[in-house]
Amino acid sequence: MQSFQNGFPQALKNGLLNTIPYAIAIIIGTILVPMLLPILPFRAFSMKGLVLGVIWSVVVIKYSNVFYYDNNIVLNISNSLLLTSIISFLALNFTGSTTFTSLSGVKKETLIAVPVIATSALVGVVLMIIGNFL
Amino acid sequence: MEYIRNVAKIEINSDKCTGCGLCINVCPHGVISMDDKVAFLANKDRCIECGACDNNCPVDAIEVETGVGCAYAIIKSWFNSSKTNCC
Ligand code: SF4
Ligand code: SF4
Repeated sequence: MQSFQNGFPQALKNGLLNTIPYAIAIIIGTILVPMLLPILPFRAFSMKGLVLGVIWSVVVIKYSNVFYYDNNIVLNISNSLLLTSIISFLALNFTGSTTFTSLSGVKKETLIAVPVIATSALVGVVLMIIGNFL
Repeated sequence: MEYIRNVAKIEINSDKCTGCGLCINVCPHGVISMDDKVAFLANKDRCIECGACDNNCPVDAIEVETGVGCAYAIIKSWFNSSKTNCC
């Protein structure tokens, strides 16, 4: 909440810096995932996305000051959950674009992955709100 | 590359099969092999449920549930009971 004490322009600047990891997460999910598809571990696409999501979350936590995050544990968990959910969900959406996935396989993956991704995103949002008031 | 295991919905009725080999020729993933003039699923986990074998079998010995594995369409179908056809 420090940003608001320093006036609106500062809050805007911090807010923009805060969104950079999310913009990069979208780039990772849409460009890096398909590029690395053959070398990422796991068969399920959402799990491949999870791998990159966890790696990106670790980088964001390490450089949290660059992106203007308060380095508190609740915000770190929240950002990690949200970033990983975004990348994992985007990765899941590439199942329709390959020559080796099947409808039955995607149905099975979707049935498991989507509720997990939705729950982590929801928990991430709640923790983000709590973390900003700490 | 292989996808999720033990999910492909494909069956070959060996009683109907005449051993013509057409399904083997058209399968893009080498799923089907021939044993003693009867086709069988040698690599079932590689099946992408494209339906080419089913469409080309002259005696209708193959049953496969076909469709495109599009996650977006599947998620959409949960909410509006539409078919899981792709985007
Ligand atoms: S459905 Fe397609 S991939 Fe599967 S066995 Fe038939 S031809 Fe091969
Ligand atoms: S196309 Fe049909 S009849 Fe011919 S080998 Fe395959 S399953 Fe048997």
